[in-house]
Amino acid sequence: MIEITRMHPMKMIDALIKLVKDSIFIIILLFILNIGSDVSTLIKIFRVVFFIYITIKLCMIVIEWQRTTYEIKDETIHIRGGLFQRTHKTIPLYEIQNITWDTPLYYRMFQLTSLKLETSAASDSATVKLEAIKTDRAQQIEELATHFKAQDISTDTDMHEEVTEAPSQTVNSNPDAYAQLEGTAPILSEKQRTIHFTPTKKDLIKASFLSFSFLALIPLLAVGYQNLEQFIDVDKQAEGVLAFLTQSWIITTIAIILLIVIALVFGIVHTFLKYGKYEIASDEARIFIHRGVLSEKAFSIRKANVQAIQITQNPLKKLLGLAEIKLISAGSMDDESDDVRTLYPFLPIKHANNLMSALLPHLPMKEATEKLPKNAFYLRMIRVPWLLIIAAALIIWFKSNWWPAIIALFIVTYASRLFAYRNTCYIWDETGIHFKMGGLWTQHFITNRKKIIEIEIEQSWFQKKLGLANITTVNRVKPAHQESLEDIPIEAAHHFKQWYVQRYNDVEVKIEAD
Amino acid sequence: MYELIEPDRRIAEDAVKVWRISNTITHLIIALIGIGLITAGYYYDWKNWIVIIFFVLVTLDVLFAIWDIFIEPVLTQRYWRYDINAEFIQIKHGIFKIHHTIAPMTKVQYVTAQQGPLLRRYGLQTLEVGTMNTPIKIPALPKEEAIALRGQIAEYAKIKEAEHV
Repeated sequence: MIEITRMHPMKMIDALIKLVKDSIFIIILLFILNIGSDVSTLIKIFRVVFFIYITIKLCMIVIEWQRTTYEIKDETIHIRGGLFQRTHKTIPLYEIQNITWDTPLYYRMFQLTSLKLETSAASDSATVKLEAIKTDRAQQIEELATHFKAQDISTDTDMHEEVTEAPSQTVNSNPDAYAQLEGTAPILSEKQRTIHFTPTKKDLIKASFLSFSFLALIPLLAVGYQNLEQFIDVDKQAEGVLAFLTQSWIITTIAIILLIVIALVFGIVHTFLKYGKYEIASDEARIFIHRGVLSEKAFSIRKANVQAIQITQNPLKKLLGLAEIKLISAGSMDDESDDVRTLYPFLPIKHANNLMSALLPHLPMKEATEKLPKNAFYLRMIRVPWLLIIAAALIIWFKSNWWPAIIALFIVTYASRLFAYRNTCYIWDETGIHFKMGGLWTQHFITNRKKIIEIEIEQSWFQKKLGLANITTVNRVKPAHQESLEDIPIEAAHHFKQWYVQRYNDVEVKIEAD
Repeated sequence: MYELIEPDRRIAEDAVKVWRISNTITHLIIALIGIGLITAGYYYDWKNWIVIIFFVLVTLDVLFAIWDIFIEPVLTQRYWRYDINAEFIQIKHGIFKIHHTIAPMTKVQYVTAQQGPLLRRYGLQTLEVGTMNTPIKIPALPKEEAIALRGQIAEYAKIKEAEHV
């Protein structure tokens, strides 16, 4: 196991970088905008306060680093830390569901990584972050955690002892011995992983156009412009430049083309760096997603922990036959790393079906065939368009000469209602439940009744008159994921209920010990 | 094939009284604050439109009070249904919009019976069943029934599902 260890000292550098990033605005305000010693007293006071703040922060970074330790003992990971109040977090290894590696470029140069371990519990203590550890140590922790998980599936708890005694070195050098030890579930070494998807160059170019990432150039330019303004009178210069650019249409065209080319190159480079070394792989128990050329991010998730799949397409992606696939899993909805759980945002749709059936056999794809009845169309058309009314009122009140916008809004509202009605379809059977919704932006939601922890059927007065109802499924994620399908026939809603209560055909139950 | 029956157990009739009293108190407080503000407006010579807005709000509150005190409690109590068996917990309620929630017993994480001073006066308790989603509440059950149900749910909920595929 792993004895009590501190994070790598790079953790302090990382914290320092974050500190500078967070206070960059104040630094610019106090030291760049008000340059020199000839400043007001107020600024001087702020400078002193800022220095005190930075000094305290620096001390805190050092003390925090010095006090934070991790340890793995008795199949449990212990994290101790805290500045004024000592904290001690413990998470049993077998409860770890998702593992995320986050490796910025400056970590990679020192063979470091930041490891995030998540359980499916809903509390704060459910996540542990090891913010700067050596890559081989991270590997070791991941193997310990996934190994327990794998073993937990194949056998019962009584085998834990045996495994603990095996020294961790054997994990790396002799995977076969481990495979034997565990019976059916093999250890998750590189060899047993199957790579399902890596994007081709064509995919990447498509993606770079689609992701609009070249728009990222605009804020950069704006910041550069602002910084420049400090030193030279840019406005006057810009006027001269502008006059030069507009004096002949040839020069104007060349300038615009140049700008577009720069934007495109920037977008393509950005996309290649972010999605270039993308890889979706899996073994028997887990899915592995790896991305990034300079800064790397890797994510592994237990297949059994995937509660549902969401396939979304915007109009542009539809045109190019691409789709974004999201895995909905406990612990995945909350924070910034969310985009890693997106399987791949620009997946060719014809690939998607094969990929999903290979990755997640428990959530098979299926064509949704049931359509909404005519009554649903009438109901959706007579529903009060509150947003439209409010928008129209605001336009008339403030900008009455913008009235054509109201007509446009009216058309968009009712067209999207019509499209949403025509595109919505659904199906449920022994293998799963599928909701397909949306007008121009479409969404396909897949889960199965075992993963649904609650259902709700709603019926308003109007729906009752028209024989319609809404149904909602709830999945176990934090916070709970709800997916609603509106205006289906009431008979279908009853069928949905009876379908759901048959879930006892799918689940195994056990009596929990007191 | 297992058929789920429609829920048909009802909550205590005294619930109507409890809700009437608590809604009366709430609306009295709101009305008092409103009247206080209007008086202050006259007394300190506030802008006219401010006083008018308070006037409209208080009138609206009186209208809502009639609904909330005389009509809504009766209808809510009349249409509230629940059912608990070894497999599922169900609640079905709503006046204009009917909500029917079904949760498997295996997904229940905790169950508590609570009562405030008003509920205590009428010997009632509210049962709260916690799942991963928002807790399911069965309001205003007779105390003995609530405690019996709590015990029963706790017993049923001991059964958990195996979490692997």
